[in-house]
Amino acid sequence: MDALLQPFQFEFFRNGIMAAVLAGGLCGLIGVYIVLRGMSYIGHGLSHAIFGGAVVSYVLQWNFYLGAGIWGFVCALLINKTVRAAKINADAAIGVITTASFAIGIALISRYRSFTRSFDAALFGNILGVTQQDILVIAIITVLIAAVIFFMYRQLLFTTFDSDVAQVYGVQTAWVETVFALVLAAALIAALQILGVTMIAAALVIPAITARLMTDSFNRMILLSAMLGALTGFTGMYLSFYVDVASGATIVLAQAFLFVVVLAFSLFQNRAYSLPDTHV
Amino acid sequence: MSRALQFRALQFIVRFTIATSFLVLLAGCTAAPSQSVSNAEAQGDGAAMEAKLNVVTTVSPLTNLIYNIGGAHINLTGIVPEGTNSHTFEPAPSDAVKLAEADLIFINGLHLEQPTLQMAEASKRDDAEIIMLGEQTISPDEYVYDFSFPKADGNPNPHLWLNPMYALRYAEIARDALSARDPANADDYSANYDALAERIEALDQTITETIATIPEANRRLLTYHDSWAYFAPRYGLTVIGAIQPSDFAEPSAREVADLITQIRDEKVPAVFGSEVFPSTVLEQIARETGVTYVDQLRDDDLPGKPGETQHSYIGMMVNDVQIMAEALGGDATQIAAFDTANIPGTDQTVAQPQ
Amino acid sequence: MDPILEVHNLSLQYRHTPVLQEINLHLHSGQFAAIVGPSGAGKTSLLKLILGLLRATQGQVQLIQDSNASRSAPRLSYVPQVDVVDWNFPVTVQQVVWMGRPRPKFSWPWPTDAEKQRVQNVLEQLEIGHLANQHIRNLSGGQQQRVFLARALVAEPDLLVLDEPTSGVDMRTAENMLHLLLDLNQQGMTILMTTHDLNMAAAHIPWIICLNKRIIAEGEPEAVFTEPILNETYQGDMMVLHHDGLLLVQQRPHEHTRDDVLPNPILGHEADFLTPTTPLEESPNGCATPAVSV
Repeated sequence: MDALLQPFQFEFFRNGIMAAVLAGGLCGLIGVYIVLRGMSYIGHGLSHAIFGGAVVSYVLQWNFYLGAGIWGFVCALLINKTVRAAKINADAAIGVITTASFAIGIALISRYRSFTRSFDAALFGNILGVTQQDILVIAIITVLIAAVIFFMYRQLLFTTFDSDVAQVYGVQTAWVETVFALVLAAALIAALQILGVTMIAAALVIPAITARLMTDSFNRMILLSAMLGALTGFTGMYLSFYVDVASGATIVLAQAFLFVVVLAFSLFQNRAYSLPDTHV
Repeated sequence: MSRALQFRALQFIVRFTIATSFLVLLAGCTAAPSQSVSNAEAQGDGAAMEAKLNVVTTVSPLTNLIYNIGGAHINLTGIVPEGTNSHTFEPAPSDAVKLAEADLIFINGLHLEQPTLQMAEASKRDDAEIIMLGEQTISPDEYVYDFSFPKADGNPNPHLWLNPMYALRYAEIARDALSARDPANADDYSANYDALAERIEALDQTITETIATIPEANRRLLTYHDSWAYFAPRYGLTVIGAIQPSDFAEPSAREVADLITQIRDEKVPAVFGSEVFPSTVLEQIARETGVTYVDQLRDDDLPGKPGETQHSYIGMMVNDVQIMAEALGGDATQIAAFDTANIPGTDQTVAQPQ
Repeated sequence: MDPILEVHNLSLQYRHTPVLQEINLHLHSGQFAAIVGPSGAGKTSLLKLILGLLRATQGQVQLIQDSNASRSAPRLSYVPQVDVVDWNFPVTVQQVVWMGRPRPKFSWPWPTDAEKQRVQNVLEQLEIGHLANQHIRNLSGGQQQRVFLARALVAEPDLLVLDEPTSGVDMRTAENMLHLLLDLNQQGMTILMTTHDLNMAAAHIPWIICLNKRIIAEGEPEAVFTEPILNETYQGDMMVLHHDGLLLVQQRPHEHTRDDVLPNPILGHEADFLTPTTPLEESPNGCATPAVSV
C-alpha cells in the first residue's frame, strides 16, 4: 500500500497529477470538435505556431500568455479564413500557416543567437515543475471553456456538423468560429504549460477518436472524451513514476493504449455483427 | 521527443544555409584578396592592418584568456555567443567567413565544439592553424568522465578552464602560438602572460582561502550538469552526482522524486542548477526540499558586458566562487574584492556576439 | 400573388470564369419551382446565392415579406445534397432535426420538452417518428432525405430550398419524396429545388426554370420542355416525346450507338430510341420511363 501511495508524498507529483487530469480533460473536451471537423492536425500545428508566438513575445518582452495567446488565436482564425476563402483543404491551410509561424520562431532564435537549446522547455514549462499558480490558471480556463461549450452547445454542434447550412438556419457561424478559435488558443496555451508541444496534439486527438469509437451519440462522445482525457492523464502520470519514463510521453502512451484496446474491441464487435449479414 | 525533432529541424535549417552560403563564398573568394589589398593600401596604413593576426576562438572564457595575452595586437573574434549552450552550439554562415579569414583558431577541444571544429577544418586557409587547448593541457589519462559525461559516450568532461591552473596553461599555449606567428610582438605577449600568471596564482590562493571558510560538511556541490569536475578536487570540494538525465530527454517523475530524496538525505544547503534541466522543475525541487536553488553559476559566459571590469575570465571565477561560498555558508568578502580587470585594459575591441 | 423572392440581374464569377450571368428570377408565395440544367450549370451556386452563402459579383437577391406577417424577413430553410452530409457524424435523427429549431440567444445543451415535441411532430408528419433515436448513418437513403427535410420544416420556413432532393436514391424513393414536397406545397409551402430528373419534373412540378449559366427559359413544363430550349440548356441533341399524356425527355442516341447495338428482337427497330443503353425501369404508375442521364 505504501508503495502505491509513495509518489503522492511528493508535492511536485501531486501538482503534476492534478495538472495532468485538468489538461487531459480539457484537451479531450475540445478534441471532440477538432476531430469531428477533420482538423486533427490543428493541435499539432497550432502548438508549433504558438512556439513562434512565444519567441516573438519573448523577444519583444511581452507577457507570455498575452503574446502567445494572441498569436495562436490569430493563427487559428487565419486557418479558418483560408479554408473558407480559398477553398483549400484544412490540412494544407494548417500546414502553411502554422509551419510559417513556427519558422518565424526558428528564424528569430537563430537571429538572436543567445537562446539555449531548451528554449521551449524554458517557455512552456514541464509537467513536473507546475506550480499551484499554473494549476489555478488551467482550472480557470477549463471552467470558462466548459461554460462556453455548455452555453453555445447547439451553435457549436451545428457549425461543426455543417457550417454552411448552419448559417442558413440563423447560426452566426463566423462568430461561433471566432469563439472556438479563442477557446482553442486559450486551451493550448494552458495545456502547453503542462503537456509541452508534442503531447498536445495527441491529447487533443486520441481521447476524442477513442470516444468516437465507443459511441454514436454526440453528448456521450463529449463526456467520454473529457473523461478519457482526464483518466489517461491520471494513469499516465501515475504509471510514469513506476516505469521511470517522461510523464508527458507516458500519458500519450496510456491514451494510445486505450485507443488500441477500444479499436480492437470495436473491430471484433463489428465482425460479430457483420457475420450473420454475410451468411444470410 | 519533439524537442529533439525541433532541434534536428533547426540543425537542418542551419546546415542548409551554411551549405548554400558556401557556394556564395566560393564565388566571392576569387575576387576578394586583390581587392582587400588595394583597399588597405588606399587607406595608407596597410602594413599595420596586414600585420595584425586574425584570431578566432569559441567560448567567451577562452576568448578572454587569449585577449589577455594578445591585447590590441590581434584581431580577436569569439564565435560562441555568451549565454548560448556551448555543447550544442552550431556555427552560423557568418562564422564560416570568420573562420576562413583566421590565422589562428583556438578551440577548447575534448569534443566540446564539434560542429565548429568541423567547420573550421573545412573552411580555414591552408596556412591557418587550429589549436586544441584542452588536448594540449592534459593527457588522456587525466580526462575526467563523470555522471554528466559518462565514459561510455567517449566524451570527457571538457570544462578544464574552470580550474585556474589549467586556464593558465591555456594562456601559455596561446602565448607560444601568438609569438611563433607574430615574433615582432612576442615580448608583449610574454609580458601579458607574466602579469596574468601572477593574477591567476593570486586568484587560486584566494579561492582556496574562501572555500576553507565553508563549513566542512557543506563542501559539496550537488549539481545536475557537472562543469566543476576539474575545479572541485583542487579546492577540496566534492561533486555529488545527482541523478543524471541523458541529454535532451525530459526527466521522469521518478528521477525528480529520487533527486528530492537525495537532497533531503545529503542535507546540502543548496543545489546548483543546469541548463540541461528545465528550470521550472528545479525550482519545484527547491521549493519542495527547502534548499536554495542556485542557477547563476557561469561556466561559459562572462559576467557583465564587454568593457566592464568584471567581464573577464577572472571575473567569472570570482562570481562563481562568491555564489558558492554564499550558498554553502562560507565567507565571500575576500573573493568579492578580488581584482577582475583585464590585463591589457578594456576588452571592447574583441568581437563577441552577445 | 405575394412576391417572396426577387433576383435582379445576378452574376457570379469564380476566378474570372462566369458561373452565373444576369439572372432574373421571381418567386411568389405558394409557388413550387424547379431549376433544371446540366452539371456545372450553376444550379447549386444560384441556390447558395439566394441563401446568402455566396456573395454575388453583381446584382442582388431580395427577399420580400408579406405585410401581414410577424417576421421582419422571410425565413429560408435549406436541404443540402445528401452527399455533402457527413454521415459518420455522431448525431441522432432527433439531434439533427433539433438543430434546425429557430433558436433563442440562449439554449440549453439539450432540447426542451416543447422542442422535443415539435421535433417529434415533424418526424411523425414525415412518417419517420420511430427513428428519432437512430444514428443518421443507420437510415436508408429515403429516410436520410426525410431527416434533412424535417430539419428544414422544424424551422418553420417561408421558403424551402432543396438541392437535388431526388438524387442518390432509387426511383420509387425519389417519387415519394416529390409527392411529399407536393403535399407540402398544397399546404402552402413555397418551394425552390434543383433536379436532374427532367421526366419527373415534367410530370409533377408546376414551374420549371432552365439554367445554364443564364436562364434559358422558365415556365410550365409544357412550355419549356421543347427541343430548342432543352438543346440550348443541355448543349446536346434532345428529344421530347409525348406519350400517353406524359411528357418524356431523352437525349437522342448518338449515331454510333445505333450501329453498335444489336437490334432488339422483341421491341424491333422503332423501340430503340428508348435508350437501348439504359435498362427500363418500372415507374410507380406502371409506365416504362427511361432513366435520364444528362
